[in-house]
Amino acid sequence: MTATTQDRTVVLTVNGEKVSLTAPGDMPLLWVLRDRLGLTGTKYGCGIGACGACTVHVDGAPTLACQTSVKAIAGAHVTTIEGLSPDRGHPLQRAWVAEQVPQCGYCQSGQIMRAAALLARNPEPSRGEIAKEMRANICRCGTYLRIVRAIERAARDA
Amino acid sequence: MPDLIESYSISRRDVLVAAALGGGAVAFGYCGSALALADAVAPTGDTELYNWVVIAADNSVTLRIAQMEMGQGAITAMAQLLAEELEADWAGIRTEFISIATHRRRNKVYGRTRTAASLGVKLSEQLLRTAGAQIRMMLVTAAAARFGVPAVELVARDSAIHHPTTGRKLLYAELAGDAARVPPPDPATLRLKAPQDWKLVGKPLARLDVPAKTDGSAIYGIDVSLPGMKHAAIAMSPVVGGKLASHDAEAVLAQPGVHAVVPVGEDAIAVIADDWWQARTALDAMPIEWRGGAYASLSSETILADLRMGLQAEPDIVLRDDGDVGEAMPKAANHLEAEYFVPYLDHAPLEPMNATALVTDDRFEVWVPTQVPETALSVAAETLGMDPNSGEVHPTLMGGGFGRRQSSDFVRQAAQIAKAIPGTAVKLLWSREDTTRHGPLRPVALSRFRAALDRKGTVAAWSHRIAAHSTSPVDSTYGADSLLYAVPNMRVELAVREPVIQAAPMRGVAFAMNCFVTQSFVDELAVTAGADAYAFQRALLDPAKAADYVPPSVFPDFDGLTPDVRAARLRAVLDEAADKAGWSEPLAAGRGRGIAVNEEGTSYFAAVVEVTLDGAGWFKIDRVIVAADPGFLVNPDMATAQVEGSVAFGLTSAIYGEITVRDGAVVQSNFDDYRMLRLDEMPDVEVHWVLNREVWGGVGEPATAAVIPALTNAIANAGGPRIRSLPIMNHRIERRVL
Repeated sequence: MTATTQDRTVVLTVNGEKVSLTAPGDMPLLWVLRDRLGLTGTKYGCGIGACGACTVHVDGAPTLACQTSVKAIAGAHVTTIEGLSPDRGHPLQRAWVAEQVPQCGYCQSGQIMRAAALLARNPEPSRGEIAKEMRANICRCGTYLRIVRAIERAARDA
Repeated sequence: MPDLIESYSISRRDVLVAAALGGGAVAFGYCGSALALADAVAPTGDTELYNWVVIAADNSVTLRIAQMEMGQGAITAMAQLLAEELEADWAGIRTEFISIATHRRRNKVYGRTRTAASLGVKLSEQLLRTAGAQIRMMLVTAAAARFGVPAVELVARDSAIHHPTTGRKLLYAELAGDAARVPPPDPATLRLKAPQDWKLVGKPLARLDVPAKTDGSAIYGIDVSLPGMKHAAIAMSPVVGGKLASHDAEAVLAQPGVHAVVPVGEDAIAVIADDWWQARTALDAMPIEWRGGAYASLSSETILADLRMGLQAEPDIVLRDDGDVGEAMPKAANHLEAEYFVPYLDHAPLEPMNATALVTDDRFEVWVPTQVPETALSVAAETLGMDPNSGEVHPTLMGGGFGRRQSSDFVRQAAQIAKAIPGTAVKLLWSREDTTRHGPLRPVALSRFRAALDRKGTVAAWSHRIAAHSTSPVDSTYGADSLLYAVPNMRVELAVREPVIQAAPMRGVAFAMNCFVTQSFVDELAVTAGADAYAFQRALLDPAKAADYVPPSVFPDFDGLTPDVRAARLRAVLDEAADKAGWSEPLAAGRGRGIAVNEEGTSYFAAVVEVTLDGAGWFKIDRVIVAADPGFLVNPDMATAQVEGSVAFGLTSAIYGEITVRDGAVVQSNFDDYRMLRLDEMPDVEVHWVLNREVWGGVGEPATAAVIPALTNAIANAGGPRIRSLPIMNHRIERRVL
């Protein structure tokens, strides 16, 4: 067993709650969230940081959970789709419903989390800024037009 | 440990939900969401009516959904159809997938569960509307007895039966017990509502599954969690047909969390661990050797060479032979020949392949995102050597299907793995690399055309020879031999080459292959004839001269529609697309328009694409216009979303889609080398409906096919190259020197 796979105890704040967990140091945050903490809203799509399905916020920044080892973010605040709002009330979640964005829905947690980080940083993004930011996330069902409309709606309504 | 199975069965109706964070436990909980798993027996206080409906004490109405949800909106569309005649209050609607075991026990009362080919609505609407009307009449009959009035005086509305003359009403919940004892009426005695009277069907209602898809609570196969569940990762022979030669389980069994190493059939091996990361890490660390197999020297080049041999050999099947191509061809003034190639494609649903299985001595259960739940059950039973009646399949939401989840290869593996640790549920999850490299693929094909134009520029003869890997039309000939064109001499032939990689229908199936080749070739003929592409296409779709030919095997079929009607409908959407695109307006230099049509069963689609060449070897898609006639729409907004998605799917195939083979193995592995269209590349899409309101069709697939040749024709029209082999990324898009 190599050094990196040795278990270590890491403390994180996940969706506002402090969590102490013991996991291999190189275990990606994605699998800690899904298999150890039962937070399955964050999805596995590629494992190489190419699809964006695992996008969460680490200290507010959009972060690919499949590319982030738990040891690298010890002490950080992690927000997942489950913690974005207590009641599905985030302006983006409301806009996602209003624009009927999801089809299969598998990518949408990651899409919403990336869009939420964008709006937090830039409350009125231009269409070009939305496109530049959101190209990181694949939607195989092709809901892109509605994603853009929903982000613009959320920016208007926020 | 039969107790575990028992406890799962009892709570089948509960959706599995992740517990709130704290302790990290995962628990069951009733969710009340639209996505709950089905149960054969209604819980206490609930009353099942005629298989399809469960009325709860709070007067909520649960509708059973027998078409699988892969994002196309099946849950909502099926609910709209069933609730329409049931006169159920939409605000109180819940849904659950059917129990596959119940479906089997009850002689398949839920009809077709296979979810594919854009047929969900077409093949369900009569069944669901009739069932809704029958159940409504059971409730009316019960109310008539309670009120002591004739049934004709009663009105069903908003999940209640009203007696307007006295102002009395009874809720469905108050009547359900009595109604359950009323025999369902003979459908022949019922009259279904006329379309103009629909209150739910045809309305853009909000999807029932959307809220749960915005907060992480929607449960896909990958999210299934059961008490004590283990996780499995799998390695499969990289070479097609290869076998497992050796492995060293001892090297990894001591790793943390690892429980077992399990050979899976002859060509795969799995590691079972406490969580998937442990399983995957151990698998990657385990020494494994594979034996090459017969296809170790297979490559894309050898496959293409073999297909080309097919074009030169005698055809295996003559699909169509109108007039006399041999005599007409030499007599004509002008000839055109072209060869087209379409590559292998991976479906690439974003949720990797997975299935969760639990096996005991006498029972098995499978939780799986699948388009074919009945097949999944029989595959699991066959794999385990168990009675199919001792098993259950719980369909889950799918993170995309696109035809990939019509195969049950991963179900077979999950059953084999779970059998190794009886009484413990195991979730098998493929990596993305496994999913890209080991899927059955949309097959390759090569087409050769020869056509003759007479002096007036009309098509006198058309010869199309396809070399493909299947005699199954869905994988080879759909859309090639059913052409309605007014061409007196038409011959379509198929040469079948030995398949090496297993085929699976992909969204658009062979239509997406043959629509590209036939619509490109028509465009080339228009250019050769010096004609406008739209006018040329329009003349070929002359209802008065539509070819009187019906393919011997086609599914979905044409519902008995005659060629003149089909041609008129296809021409109507062609006209609509051209009109809405402003076809006659000139475009600046470097810009271009392309047009294409696609008839799939009783669905008629046309697409126009506009592009601008960027002068640097590439292009930009300015907009896409789709006109479509699927007869009726259950939910116009969902249908529009399906067309928008079809456009993205078709553009991905057209621009980037290519699986290649080297040394017997698939080369591509993940989204870095198997690219998808991204948000910043998505063009504006306009969807225009032209509804015949006579025969039902479908909306999930046909635009996928039509947009591909519309794009390549636009590139040629803009002065770019004629794309005769996909994907476009393999070509440099420069303006031709004129």
